[in-house]
Amino acid sequence: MLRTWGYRIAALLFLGLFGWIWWASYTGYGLASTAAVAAQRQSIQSRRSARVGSVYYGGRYVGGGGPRFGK
Amino acid sequence: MKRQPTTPPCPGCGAFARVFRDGQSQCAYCGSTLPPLPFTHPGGTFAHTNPLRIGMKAKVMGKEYVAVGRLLYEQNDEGEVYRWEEWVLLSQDGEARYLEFDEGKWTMSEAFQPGAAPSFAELAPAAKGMSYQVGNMRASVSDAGICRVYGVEGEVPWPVDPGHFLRFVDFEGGGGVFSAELDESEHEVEWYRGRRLDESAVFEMFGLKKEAQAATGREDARKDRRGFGCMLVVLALVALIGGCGVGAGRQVAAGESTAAMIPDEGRRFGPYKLTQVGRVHRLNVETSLTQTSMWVQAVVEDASGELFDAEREFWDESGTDSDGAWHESDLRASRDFRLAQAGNYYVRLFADPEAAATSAVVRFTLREAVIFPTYLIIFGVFSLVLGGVFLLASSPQTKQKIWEAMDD
Repeated sequence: MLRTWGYRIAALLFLGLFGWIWWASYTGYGLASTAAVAAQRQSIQSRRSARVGSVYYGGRYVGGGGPRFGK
Repeated sequence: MKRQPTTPPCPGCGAFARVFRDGQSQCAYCGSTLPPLPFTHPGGTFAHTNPLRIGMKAKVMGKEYVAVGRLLYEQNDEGEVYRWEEWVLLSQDGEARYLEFDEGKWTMSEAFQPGAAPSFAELAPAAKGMSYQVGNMRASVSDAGICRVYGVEGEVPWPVDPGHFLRFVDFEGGGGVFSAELDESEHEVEWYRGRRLDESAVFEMFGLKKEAQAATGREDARKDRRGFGCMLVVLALVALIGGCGVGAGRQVAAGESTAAMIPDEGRRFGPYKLTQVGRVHRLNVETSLTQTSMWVQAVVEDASGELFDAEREFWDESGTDSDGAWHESDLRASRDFRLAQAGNYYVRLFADPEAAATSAVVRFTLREAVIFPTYLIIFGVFSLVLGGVFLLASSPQTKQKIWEAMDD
């Protein structure tokens, strides 16, 4: 049992934060939801067309991979 | 050092305790001036490390004692010098108690004769961690070594030689502490038993009410620091276990296709009925490749169109360099999202493989009731560090040991 008020208040704040963190993790607070917006769709399509990390060369995408890929 | 009171009692009141005041030896009880001791040590030479002073009276288990002097010790342990002090308390009838103050810890002890105890020869090689039978209990050595009396002041009722070296063995066991002083000249062992005291209890004994109150406040704060630190560590562990271990949820959909079977417009799987509204869902996509790469995208859709994707340039490569063989790969991607409304959902796979990857299999899974780990992991790491700091702050000895270990 905590005896000093400073630690009691700090403990209550941390317990509250802990509860809030679990609630946020349980419900996915801050994550995008299935209530989609046009911008969300546009970014999916742009990723598909941009092919992040690849280079189009000789009729195909090449050059993907990690830091040493193809070196 | 033979701790046998050798001074005569006060001829006026019969008390043994005397103090050095106004340049002369006086009875601690009736104030009579007494003939000076041949080995008196006037004070004032050594700095004080606590509020106790020579001449103060203390009540120990209902009996009154006078602080007649203090001995100052030092030990050189591989170049590191440790210092501590010991107050000699003498009752009116000449009974002595010893109050040690060592790195903030107080220990009250008294001489005793254990029934069966190790001899001088048996104790001479004692080292930390060894154990001995002391009386009817098993006690383990907590410290052993040679210390030096580097200072003495007051009317200690036996001759003390500053500079005198002393071999000691400290024990813990049976709920108390013991120590043995080994007399090198006569090969004898003097035994002492004691108990640890809180700082506030020591000040209470001496009637130092204000100091006792302040010490209680410090002890409460230290205990609270430890309690708060423990609480943070427990919360951190629960958060980390929740974030890393138990939040994977249930699989509600899965599918796979070889890359060659995925057309340009993608291959759609489903419908899958998702019902856990307000919960986190996770789309995973993975493949297995060897020495090639393939771009993959998995998209969650509903009747209105695309909602979320997990996409990556997957690759696998191995080779040999100056460090030997190596193998690296990146073959997995995922995306967490929140379900806003129940209904039928689809997963569409897209793939753009290199020629060597067309036969690779692309797999996806959709899981519901997932615990989103990022917040818990951040909270867990932060609380663990903060809890560790508070636990360290609550234990100056541990902090000291860590600093010493870092110095080494």
